[in-house]
Amino acid sequence: MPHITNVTPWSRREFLGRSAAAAAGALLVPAGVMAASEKRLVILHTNDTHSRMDPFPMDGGRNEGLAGVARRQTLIDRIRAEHRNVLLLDSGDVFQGTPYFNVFKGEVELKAMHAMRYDVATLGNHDFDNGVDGLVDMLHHAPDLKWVSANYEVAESRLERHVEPHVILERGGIRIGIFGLGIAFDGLVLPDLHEGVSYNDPILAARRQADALREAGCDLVVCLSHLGYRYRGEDRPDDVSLVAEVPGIDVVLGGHTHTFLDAPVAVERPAAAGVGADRPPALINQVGFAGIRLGRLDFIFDGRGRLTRWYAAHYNVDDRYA
Amino acid sequence: MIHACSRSTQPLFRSWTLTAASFLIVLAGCRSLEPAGMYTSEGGQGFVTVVDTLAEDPALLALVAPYRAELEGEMSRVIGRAAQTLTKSQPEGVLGNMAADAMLFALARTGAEPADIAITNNGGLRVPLNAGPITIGRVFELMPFENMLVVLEMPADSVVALAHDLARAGGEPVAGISLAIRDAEAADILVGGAPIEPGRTYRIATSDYLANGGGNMPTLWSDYPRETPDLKLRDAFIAYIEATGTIAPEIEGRIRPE
Ligand SMILES: [Zn+2]
Repeated sequence: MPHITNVTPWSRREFLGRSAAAAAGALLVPAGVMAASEKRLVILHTNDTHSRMDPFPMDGGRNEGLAGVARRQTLIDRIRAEHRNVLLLDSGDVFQGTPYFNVFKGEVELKAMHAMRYDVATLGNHDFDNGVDGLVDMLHHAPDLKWVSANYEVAESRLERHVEPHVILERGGIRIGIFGLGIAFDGLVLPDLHEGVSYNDPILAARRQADALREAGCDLVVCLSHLGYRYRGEDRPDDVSLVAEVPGIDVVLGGHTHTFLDAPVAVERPAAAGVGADRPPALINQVGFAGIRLGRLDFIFDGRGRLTRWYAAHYNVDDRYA
Repeated sequence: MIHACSRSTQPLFRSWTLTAASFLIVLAGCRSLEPAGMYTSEGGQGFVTVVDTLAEDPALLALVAPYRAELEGEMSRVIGRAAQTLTKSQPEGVLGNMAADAMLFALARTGAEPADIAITNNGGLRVPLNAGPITIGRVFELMPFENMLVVLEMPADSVVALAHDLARAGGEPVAGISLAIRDAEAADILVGGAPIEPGRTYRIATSDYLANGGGNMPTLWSDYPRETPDLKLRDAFIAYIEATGTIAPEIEGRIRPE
């Protein structure tokens, strides 16, 4: 796909070539050069983790040996040890994909997210696989995790007490507004399973959220999206159309299409839109599925709290180099 | 303007490097020419980094361990073998053929009247079956959903419409029916090797997901007389693999381009 044509994908050989630079196991994210007045916010994110608690089995499959929550935890801990302002986010489809879900109904997934100290997540279509009740009954396993969805109307369901359109978090004086968007249920979630929850237009919801979060003084507006990265030639909302139409969003952390973006995709903001014209391009990122990768985006703010630039890296959750 | 995605552009880097450069000029005290917004690394491109080794966090391991132990006993049981790696594909794939064959097989084994046709969807088959032993756990990964098999009693003209749905979808896993795709329409439709007989009803085994409005075959969504044998799709696959031993499905031209 064109957006990665000039990004050399990471490869094992490259890694080995660089391993001298990786001495002492540093995480090696571009430190850049930071002025004293600048602040760094580190956003870590996953999507479509799909009940993948253990690494993929060593069975000759393409993902063998990859992923696993215990390794992800190690990685997250190391990054938290290096940086103060860290957010950990997920873009939905926590549930479904291994027998852990079939047998334990989401308990293990949410307990692990609680242990990893996930801050905010949005709902994917598979999070409804055991119905609204099946979801709500599990949420107490991650009591501190906040769920956001701005276009699922939840007021008529038991999710009402658990899902907000957005949350505003603060890290080191940086205000981060985070809202969620979910995909249309049609053809994906059977009516019985989302009873009481209805779908509204995500673009309209996103405009409202971006405006509200700007007004509330957020320095960064983040959308957790389970819409999908891009549907070519199809008239349905996706992350690409979302950032093009809603310039107030700084970053979309996507899901659903299980897209491995080797680099985040930068989208210039419409200059006329007022908001955003003086900011770096909006970003879309997505890290495949199953926790094979952990995404990382570092946002640098100047002394006045203005976003000036970002760095990005993806970590393969892997132990092959041990 | 979407640099990253339009067909002709120099994506991401060119535009952003320029933008980044202007930001860098603005940043007092920042003399680095390291362009922001890139995967900054030696050479200035590519994935930056990986850790050298990721040990497993003991607390998380301990959290998962009791659940894993409970699963392992059952999930590691070998129920059969795949002669070769089975993957899904369109218009026809060996994994899909196995799935649809299993639906017919397992339905018949419940003692119900056999179905003429089985249809499921590629989207519901989540992983390949690798060559070699097949465990229960792998079938759970193949079919993680709790979808139930249903049988629809369908008039002949609906079966024709369903064949067109299949053609428009570019092919989905089927058994008992064969057709060619001609300009996104079905041609040469055979059920059980014979042309569809007007006036007859046919028994279609499918999943409750597809029959209740899921997927992309609208003909399945109408109201038909329905039977619901208490049979999960996953259990149908398990029963079929166990009974067959070594599964070696082939491409048979069930759905073929013309
Ligand atoms: Zn997913």
